[in-house]
Amino acid sequence: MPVLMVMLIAFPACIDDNFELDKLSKKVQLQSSWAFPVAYGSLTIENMIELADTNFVGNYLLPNDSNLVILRLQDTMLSQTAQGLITLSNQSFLMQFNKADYDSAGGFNIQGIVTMTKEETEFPFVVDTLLGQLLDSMAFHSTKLRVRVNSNMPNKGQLILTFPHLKIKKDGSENTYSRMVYIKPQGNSFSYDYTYTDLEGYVLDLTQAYAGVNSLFIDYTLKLDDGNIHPFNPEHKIDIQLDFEDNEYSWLFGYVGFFESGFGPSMIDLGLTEMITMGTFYVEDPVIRFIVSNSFGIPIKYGFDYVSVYNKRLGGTEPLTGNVPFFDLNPGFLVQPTNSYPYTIEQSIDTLQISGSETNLPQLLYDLPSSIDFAVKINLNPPESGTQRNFMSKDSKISVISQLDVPFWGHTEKICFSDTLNFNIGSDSSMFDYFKKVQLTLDVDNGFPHDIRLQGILIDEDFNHKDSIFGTPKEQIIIESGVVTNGKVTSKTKKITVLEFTKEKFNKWKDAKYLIIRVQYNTTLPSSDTQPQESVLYYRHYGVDVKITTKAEIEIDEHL
Amino acid sequence: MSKYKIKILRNVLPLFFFFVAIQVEAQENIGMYYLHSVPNSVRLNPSTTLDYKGYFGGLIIPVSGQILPPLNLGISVNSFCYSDIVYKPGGAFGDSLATVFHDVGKSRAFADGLKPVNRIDFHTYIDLLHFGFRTKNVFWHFSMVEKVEAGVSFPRDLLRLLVYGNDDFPDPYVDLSGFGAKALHYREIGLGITHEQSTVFSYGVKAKALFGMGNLQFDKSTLEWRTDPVTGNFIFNADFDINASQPIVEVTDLYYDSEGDSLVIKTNQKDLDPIGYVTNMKNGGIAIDLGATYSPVSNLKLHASVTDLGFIRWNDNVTNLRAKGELNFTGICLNDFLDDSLDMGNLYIDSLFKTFDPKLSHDSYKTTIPLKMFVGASYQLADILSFGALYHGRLWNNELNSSVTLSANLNNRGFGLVVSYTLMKDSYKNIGVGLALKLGGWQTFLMTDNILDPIFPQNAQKVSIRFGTNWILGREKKHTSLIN
Repeated sequence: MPVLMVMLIAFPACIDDNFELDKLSKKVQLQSSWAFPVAYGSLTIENMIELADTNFVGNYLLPNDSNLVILRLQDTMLSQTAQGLITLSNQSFLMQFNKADYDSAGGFNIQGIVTMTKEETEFPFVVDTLLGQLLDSMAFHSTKLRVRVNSNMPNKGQLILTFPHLKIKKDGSENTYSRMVYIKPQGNSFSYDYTYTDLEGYVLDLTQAYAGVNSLFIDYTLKLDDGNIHPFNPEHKIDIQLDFEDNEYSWLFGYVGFFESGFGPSMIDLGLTEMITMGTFYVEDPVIRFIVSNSFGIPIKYGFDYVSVYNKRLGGTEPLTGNVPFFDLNPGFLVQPTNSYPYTIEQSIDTLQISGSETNLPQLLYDLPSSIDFAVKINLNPPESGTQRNFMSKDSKISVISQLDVPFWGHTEKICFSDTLNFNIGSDSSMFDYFKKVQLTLDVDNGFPHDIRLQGILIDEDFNHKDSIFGTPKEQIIIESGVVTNGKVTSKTKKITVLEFTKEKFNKWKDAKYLIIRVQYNTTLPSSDTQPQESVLYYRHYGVDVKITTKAEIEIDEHL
Repeated sequence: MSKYKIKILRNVLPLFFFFVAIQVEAQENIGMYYLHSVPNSVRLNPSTTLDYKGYFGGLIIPVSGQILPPLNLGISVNSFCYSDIVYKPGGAFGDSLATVFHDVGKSRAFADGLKPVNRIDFHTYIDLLHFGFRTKNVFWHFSMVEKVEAGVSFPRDLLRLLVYGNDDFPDPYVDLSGFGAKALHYREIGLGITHEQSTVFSYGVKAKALFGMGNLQFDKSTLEWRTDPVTGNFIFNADFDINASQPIVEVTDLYYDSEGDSLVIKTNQKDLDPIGYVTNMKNGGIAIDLGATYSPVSNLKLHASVTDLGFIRWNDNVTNLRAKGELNFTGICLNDFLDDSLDMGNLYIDSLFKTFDPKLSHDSYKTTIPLKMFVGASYQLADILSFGALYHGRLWNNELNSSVTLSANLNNRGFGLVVSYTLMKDSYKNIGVGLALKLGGWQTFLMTDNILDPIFPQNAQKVSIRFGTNWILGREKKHTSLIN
């Protein structure tokens, strides 16, 4: 019992002090050191280009056996199809038989039959082609021949339409296009309307017309029966209308005429250079190439109206000079294909390649321009070729593609990329108060034939300098280039850089709003000023291995 | 005399309620071993002889079972106490309290002082019904007990990681093994005998049928984290083996959906049927208690017993989860940024999932129940007074906890008093007290193995308390009087 009494008294006294949590200090003090891997990767030139533009590798990097990085910029200077050059419009041909024709035919004979004919009736056949054209034949691909016949007579009969110069070769014989309409009036009127679509393959001979005119000849033969009771009265007539609609040709032969046109202005965009703020790059042996594909059987003259290089950074335009096919100076003439009627015309391909050494292109590319601007001119049936018999099919096409191949082979000094990024560690930057020190280790194996010089400048919203990431603003972190022998990288160069960021540095960053990243490259520099800088080659597999680790010391001394 | 007893009761009861009110920590009541006036002591040694003809008690006994329900409660923390975390630094702090994290050195010392795996365990045993009776030299015992064991564990290195970081870590690697939880709920129905073969030897055996209600256990919980000092790369090794039997939710599938970029866990929420839960007979098991008492010379007795040697096989609502693998983390791969279609977060979750390859199954499994071993000796100084020494070992999930107890025991006609001192690893202040009072046939008892913990709870780590009520029937002549 005494023991229990003591417990009853002592217990409240003993626990009292230790459980007065309102007296509990909320101070927390912790120090810990953390290390963790941040990132790693192996980036080749190809990877880096993909990062800039995911379509660039497939569209702009030229595959080749040596795996050299060759940038191919391409543009279609000219593209023209036959359908866009020559068209057949809809056209109508009207004819009438009346009392005068009846009388000329001698009226109904003893059998009560009269036959009226109109042969070789000529109609102009319009072809929307070029100035001075004179076609000699065309083959129909498709057309709709609508035949409408209207009569106000009670007489039965038949109308035969023959196109004497519209023929088709079939089974070894040549057939003329002809159609017959049976006239069966209802009372005193007859109306007929039908569309024929069977003209595919028929060839229209246009040589029978008068010189300088494309004509269609039609023979009309109308036979009527009086039925013993129906005379041909003066008011009686038969109207015939033929409409050629939705006409498409498959082949054209003859002189299509003279045609002159300009294309452009066009542009080859060198967008990659936009991020470059300074520096130059001398390119060894850039190549300009024109690939001409032609399936028109027509003499064609072509050439540049102008070619110039625009540099946005320097604010200027420079013309391309040298052995370039300018229209007015040294135009090109396309090779014509072979007439392969009735089979598809095999296009002829002509390639004109101009080495950079034949022009001032290397000098123009040296300053890393923004674009190449140009315009092109062509002439069909130019005066130099005289008047020739042309041929073309509905599938004929002409196209001229220009290519600029820029091999990554050259040298550069102080080419500098710059970009401004938003930088905001947030309005509540109290988290950084807990970082006593952060150490970032960059382990870089550089396999490029150029060094990499980095700096990051932090500025506030008024563009005042706040801090620089690597040392002072004028300093840089330098990662030496790979070992280069005869312009090729033989081994990678390792550089381990440790960057230390302290709490004082974080305090400077709190007000920063932007981060200016500057990256500068130099290909291998000569050992002395008197020696020229060596040109280096960039292969697609060249790359850089990066490993980033970090260590952070955290120090918390807070009252919660 | 009766006035004296009433006074005792008047003083004891408030203390009892006080103990109830501040129930916090407990362990098995080892002091009960030599408190032979209480029939519950047979639970610790089936060979214990009782000097009455019969007894009964339990939660279902009207009135007495509810006024003072027969409970055994215990909570233990194996490596720290309140005062290890909150204390009075003094000095500049004056009379204020501070946490151990107010100072770098203190927090590191605290973290270093923890055990590799720190556990907070809880158990409660509820006597639903028990009774016994004597026939000649054999005492028959029956009991039905509801047992719940539970605990959570966490590794020391989790806290050491916080106070050191992985770069300055004092060991070659961070050992995060030991995360886990365990829970075991089962019903035990036992029938046993104590046979007084002679005046110097008695033995006892009890066979028990076990019925599992719910279980959760982490058979394996291994997680090691290594940091390469040069490259800073992380290497994680994990090996987990988790089994559960529970009626709340059924996990039917677990996989990573690469197309949907998501971790998919398919579950069926079950309608918990409380009646069905407590009457579940599908998870069966058996256990046995064995004990022997031998008196080589007069007044000296040697005791040995093993209790709860058994297992339960879990067949109903079973879920198994196994995962094993090694993950090397070397940072974010910059090349993955080239593919805009990649979701970086899900990419790494996918890698994590494939590396550790978690496998879900629903196979039955077996668990052992906590095994207890007792070996001791007692010296009978007088008819009602004895002194005892006892070794106690508790084995569960491959972990053995041992203790040694010295006690002074007083047993007289249903009245009992025991004062004990228990020595455990890293715990030396365990003074226990047990008291049994009998009024006519009604007996009540209360005991704890650490009376100081309620007085100084700030230093408490392991406390258990047991109390209850029995009805004692008849009185047998004592063997010592026969010998005399």
